[in-house]
Amino acid sequence: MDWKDWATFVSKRLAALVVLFVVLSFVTFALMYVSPGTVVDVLLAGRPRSAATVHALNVEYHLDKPFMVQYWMWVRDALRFNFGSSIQTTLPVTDEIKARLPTSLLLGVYAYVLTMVSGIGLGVLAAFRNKRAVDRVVVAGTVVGLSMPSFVAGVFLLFVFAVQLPWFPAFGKGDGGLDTLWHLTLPAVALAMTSAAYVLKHTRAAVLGVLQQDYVVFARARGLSNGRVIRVYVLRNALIPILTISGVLFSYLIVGGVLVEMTFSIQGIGQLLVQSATAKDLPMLQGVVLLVSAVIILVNLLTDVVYLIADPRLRLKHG
Amino acid sequence: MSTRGKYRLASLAAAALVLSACSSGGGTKASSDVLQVGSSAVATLDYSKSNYGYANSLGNLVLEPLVVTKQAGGFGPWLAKSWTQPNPTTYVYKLRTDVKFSDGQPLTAADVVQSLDYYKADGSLVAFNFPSTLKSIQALDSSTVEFKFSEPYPAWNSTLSGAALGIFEKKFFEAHKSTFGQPGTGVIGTGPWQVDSLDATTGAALSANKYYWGGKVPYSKINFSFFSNETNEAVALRTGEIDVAFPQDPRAFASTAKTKLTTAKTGIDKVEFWMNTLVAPWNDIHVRRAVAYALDRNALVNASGVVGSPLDTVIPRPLLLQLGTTEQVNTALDGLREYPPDLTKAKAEMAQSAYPHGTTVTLATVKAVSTTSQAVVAELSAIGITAKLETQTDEANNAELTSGNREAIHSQVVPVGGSGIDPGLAYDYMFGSANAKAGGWNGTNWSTPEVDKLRAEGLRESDPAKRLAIYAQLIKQYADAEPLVPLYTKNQTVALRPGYTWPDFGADSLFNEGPWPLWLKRGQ
Repeated sequence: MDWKDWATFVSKRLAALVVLFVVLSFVTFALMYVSPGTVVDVLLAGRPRSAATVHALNVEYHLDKPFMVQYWMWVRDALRFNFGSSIQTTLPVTDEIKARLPTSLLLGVYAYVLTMVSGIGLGVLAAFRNKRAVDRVVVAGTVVGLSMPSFVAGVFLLFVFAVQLPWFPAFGKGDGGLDTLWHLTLPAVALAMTSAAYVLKHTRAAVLGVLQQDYVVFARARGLSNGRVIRVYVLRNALIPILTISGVLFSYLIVGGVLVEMTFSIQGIGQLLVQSATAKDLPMLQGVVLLVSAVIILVNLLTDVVYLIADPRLRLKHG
Repeated sequence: MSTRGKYRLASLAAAALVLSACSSGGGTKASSDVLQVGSSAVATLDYSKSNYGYANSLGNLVLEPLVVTKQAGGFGPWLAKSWTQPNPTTYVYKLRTDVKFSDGQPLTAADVVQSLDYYKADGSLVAFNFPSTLKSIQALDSSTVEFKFSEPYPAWNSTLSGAALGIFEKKFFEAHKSTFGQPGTGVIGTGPWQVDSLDATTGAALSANKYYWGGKVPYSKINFSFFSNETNEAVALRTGEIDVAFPQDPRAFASTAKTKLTTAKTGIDKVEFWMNTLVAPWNDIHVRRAVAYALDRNALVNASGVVGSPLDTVIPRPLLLQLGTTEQVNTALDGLREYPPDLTKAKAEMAQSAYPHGTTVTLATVKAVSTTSQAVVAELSAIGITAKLETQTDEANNAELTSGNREAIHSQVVPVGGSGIDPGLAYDYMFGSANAKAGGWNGTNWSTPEVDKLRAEGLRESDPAKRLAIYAQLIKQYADAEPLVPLYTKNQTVALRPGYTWPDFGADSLFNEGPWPLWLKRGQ
């Protein structure tokens, strides 16, 4: 692949991102429009309502206008990067997202590191100790990890490490730096448990598969050291499929941690998405949906690029 | 130093860091003069714009009302030192002259007029507090405010004591109109504490207002931590990371926090079973009475998970005590048709109805009352009513209950919030024919000309004895027709860390007796 191939590849994916933005924003808008109740029902909730107040709110949020006019007004502002203000909190959507994104990113990255280190490490260990006690213990742990929802793991960790052994705080994101890492440790472990088990399972299977390949047998027959065989011949080949799932996992860990965020009262993007959907907070929901889709697409793009770099056969195909 | 030595030193430093972090325990322990409060999130202190965190009591510590309700009943002065009624439709409030805002500026009548005009404006989420009969709010001089109505409005003090109508500084508001109340701007009030920081994603930090007119406050700082769920909040109370919390699901909270809750004797929020009298089988009075006999209020309180008191009147008796003594209230309610749980009577009523062999219905429910709804379904089955539950979101349910298609409203268990503590005003929005149309909350769609008359008279009448007679009559009308079954009140609860007590925690003390931490005792 030369630079032109690379540029074409990346620009095609970015163009798909724009198309996806349009489709997603329209579908989100339409779903919110047809679902029962309006923003006025959210804002006034169970309180008495006067006709004047209902009218004023309908005008303020353009609910008195036809669907397509409402959507066009949103698109027009969004094209100027003005995503409006949250109906529920009155704060600008971009400010609300900015306040939560760093926490979600840090939690996601923290959980990702834990996932990859423990998943790959234990997966390789289990493969090399195949059918021995270590392998059996690790595989049993994988079953537990895959079966346990992250919020159950979260509650368990809270009970053990915040209540019984008060080593970690029970809630919140801390005040920055090491304090934040300390606060995010239990949530990150809870979030990483399932994904680490998933990575472990795939790593073990991939390494076992590679270990049976002729080129590994041949490398050993050539008298290469065990470490070099593992590093160059086994891990490099076994990790290509892991690379693919790691991208998906990374997106999930950043935007999909809503249950863990709830369990530890961490205000992240996942919670914001759920809150804005349940409160029919359309400006906020649109903003978060676009962000989430951008994160997923960009991480997938990054994964594909890394995949192309790692596997020369794919580069040849694209070229 | 060798490379290996450097690694060892770094490892030791890291281990020391981890140990020092762990040894400090599971969170920030409060110092004696700092109060740590758990709460749901608050995004803004501008209650006219957002109800996000509306009922959490944070704003109440910063923005104070003109008057407060008293535990013993009635209203007491707060920012207003006195009030008079020069004629039946005019109320004049004299402000204290020693009150200053947290920036040192004195409180004036102009601040009061600006605040209340702002809350009253069309589009304000708290505009419902102001009756359409309020014609003007005017500053007569720097410390006198006059309210003029088109007809008498004896519930006005109840309105002014409301949690969401705290007075803010006009000058600050005018300088920060677009971001008023939001993090980074906040509000300037006269309360015992001022907001130093507010972050909807973490919490709020408050410090003592050095200009507070009430003197020294018991806590120099109050930190609010915002929680996403009550289980996590209960764990934080258990680990000592917070000192106070106000749980909405008290029994589960108490169990997780391993603490005993302090509970008010009653509350103004109640739960009722509404029957849409426009549609079958609920348009049959014998079915409605059968339901009233079939529903066991005590069992429903237990099933609900809340701390509550069974109800037998559409206006809870404790609210009527503002209008007379217990004896006077009981006398006024003499002859009230009552529905103690009695399956025999319930079946007898069903036998007299058009559905002697039972019937099948669909009930709506929302998350807040889903367990109560399930218990109601079980109890209705005993009298041959097979009920299917249709779960709705809060927004869909609100839209249905206030829609113009009144026949489409499902009968259901409904959480009913009180609009203040005045017995007439609290639930007025769900009474009468005016509320049984689009935008109205009378989901039973039941009313009579007599009910409409009593409703209007009750809000006009100033004499407590006459008001008591009016509301007793209204209650009896409801009990006779039984378009709804009052089930229970949801009583306010507070969870306190060991070492804290709240001796006078009452029905409305959280919101209406002034800033609540003033009454919270420490070290007893």
